[in-house]
Amino acid sequence: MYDLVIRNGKVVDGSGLPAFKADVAVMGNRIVKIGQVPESAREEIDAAGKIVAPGFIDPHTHFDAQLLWDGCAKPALAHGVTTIVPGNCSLSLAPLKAKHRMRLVGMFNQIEEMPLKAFKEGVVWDWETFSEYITRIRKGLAINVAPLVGHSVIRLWVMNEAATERTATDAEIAEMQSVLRECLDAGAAGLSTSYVDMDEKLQPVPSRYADAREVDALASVLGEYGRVLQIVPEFYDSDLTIARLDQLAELSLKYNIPTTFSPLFMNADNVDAVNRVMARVDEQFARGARVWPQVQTRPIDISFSFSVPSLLFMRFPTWYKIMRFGTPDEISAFFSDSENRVKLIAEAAPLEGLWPTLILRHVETDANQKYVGKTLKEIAELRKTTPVEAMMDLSVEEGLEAHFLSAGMGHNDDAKVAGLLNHPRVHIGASDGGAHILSFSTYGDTGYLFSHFVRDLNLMTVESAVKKITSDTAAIWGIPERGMLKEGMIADIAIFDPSTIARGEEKFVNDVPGDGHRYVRDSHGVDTVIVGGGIAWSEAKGYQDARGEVLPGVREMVAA
Amino acid sequence: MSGAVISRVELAAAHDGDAELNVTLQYENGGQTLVALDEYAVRVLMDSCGATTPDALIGQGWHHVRDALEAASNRFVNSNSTQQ
Repeated sequence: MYDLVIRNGKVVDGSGLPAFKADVAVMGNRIVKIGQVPESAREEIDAAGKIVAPGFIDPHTHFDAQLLWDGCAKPALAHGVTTIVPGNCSLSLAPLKAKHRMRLVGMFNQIEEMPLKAFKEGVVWDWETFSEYITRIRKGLAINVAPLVGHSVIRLWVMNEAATERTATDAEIAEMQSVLRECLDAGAAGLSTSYVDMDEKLQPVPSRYADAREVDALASVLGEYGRVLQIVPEFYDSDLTIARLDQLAELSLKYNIPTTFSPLFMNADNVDAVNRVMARVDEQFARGARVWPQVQTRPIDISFSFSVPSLLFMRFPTWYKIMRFGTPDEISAFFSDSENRVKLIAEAAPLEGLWPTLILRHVETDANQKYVGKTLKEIAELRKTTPVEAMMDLSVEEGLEAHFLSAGMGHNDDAKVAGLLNHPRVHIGASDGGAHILSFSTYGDTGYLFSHFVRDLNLMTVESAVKKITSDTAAIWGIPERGMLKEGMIADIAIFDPSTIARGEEKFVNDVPGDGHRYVRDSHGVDTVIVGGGIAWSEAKGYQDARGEVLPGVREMVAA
Repeated sequence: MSGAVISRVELAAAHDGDAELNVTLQYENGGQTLVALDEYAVRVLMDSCGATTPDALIGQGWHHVRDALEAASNRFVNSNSTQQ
């Protein structure tokens, strides 16, 4: 008798080969049979009409803090994601001396928008070393975690305040190498660094003070372990991005390590720049280097309010002038003045196409809550005015704290984005799961991949989409025994309906410790998610077994 | 000052959900590069060029972009500087 059998499903095994009908039998945490399974099992799932695939792997997340109070990394698990990589962009929560805790909390707050109150009320600070942090998050872990260690925190550990003052001495670099080894021994999947991020004082994060010698020394340690280097390059400048990927390529070749950089996204006017980056990626791969660009599936939405200057209206001189030079009170007064409004309305005429998609996403007053979630066009109809006037009126009524969302403003040319996602040297990632929680939802990118690019547009096959986010990712990151459905592999499995899988509408929820909020998206069409042979989540029963592991943990398993 | 000039400007969506301005610089030899500027850098660039609309940036020299990027990068930095 098996522990679990999934019957009648269509198996998409992660190899990219065509789907086939088969049952999948699980004993303990492993897949033991794929084919006809006449034997019974303690638990059976009828997957008729559904796809049975390897669990999805999300290589770019910031769930470091959330894992301290939520071992499911909700709602990622419910979207079919069975393995996450936190610790990106030079930031992890370990190793961390007690005296540096609030400093790092400040960085997470600044860069990832994790509320300070969540750390104060949701975190018991009972770790300093990476090993202690791993022990801490293992309790109740339902999703697999392949954590990166952040270069900024290693620097802070070794250099203290000097981490944001100067380059490191030879002795300090040697100590950083030693700390990195300890982290890799404890299960870190690699190292992350950043060339762009700012800390809580809006100064460069510690990793940005490193010279090439320091990065080279740390990469050499990664080479001892064959682990990954992730970087955030100066992605605002195509030439700098190319220069960074050349540096990565040299490190990849010198130390035989995989490297990855993020984000890379395609807007209407940066097509040539992205093509140049990809051409260099191809050249470097041809040399034998591994420099994987990470590309997200979801389009980019722009959020704005009139309390913070936004470029969205800069094409219109009157709008630009008042937003550039006006105080909040002056902007409110300007919006309320009838003469000014005539000018503002006239200038904004070219925005006609924007109103049906521009959404009011947040207000402060009870009176206007009824409009939240509606488009400006709908709100204007309800208020018997024009959309542009509704936007100004709401802003004034809310003390400029009416927040709007313009959906799909970037990374939205489907054919071009699909071309990138299908590219054999593009790594699907950059979801940022667990970050930017007060600006937009970073969950559901896998659902969007299947609903939009596979089902609606037919620009990818389901087999290639599954391969991209399972076996390809496992291969890039060196995650053993996962990413494919094969006999003997660990049973991380996502069962979903290809005709309904999607990301839900974005919603604002109150589930962050300290009475905090965040934007999330529910999963649609995902039936069951299995981690390590146990049902971690199902549409029928919600979150269940907690069999998540810290990956790769290879050395630990060998030592044990 | 000779050298590259701004040949195209376009509003775009940034990775973190803000609007940014993508500026294309065209070199004398025909080569092009793209630089994305955040709100602060654009403000400096517009002021520096005396522009009130993005289109007025077309034809301006590359040094305005350099100075805007530098100002944006240094806006919060005191005596510290990055060591790349």
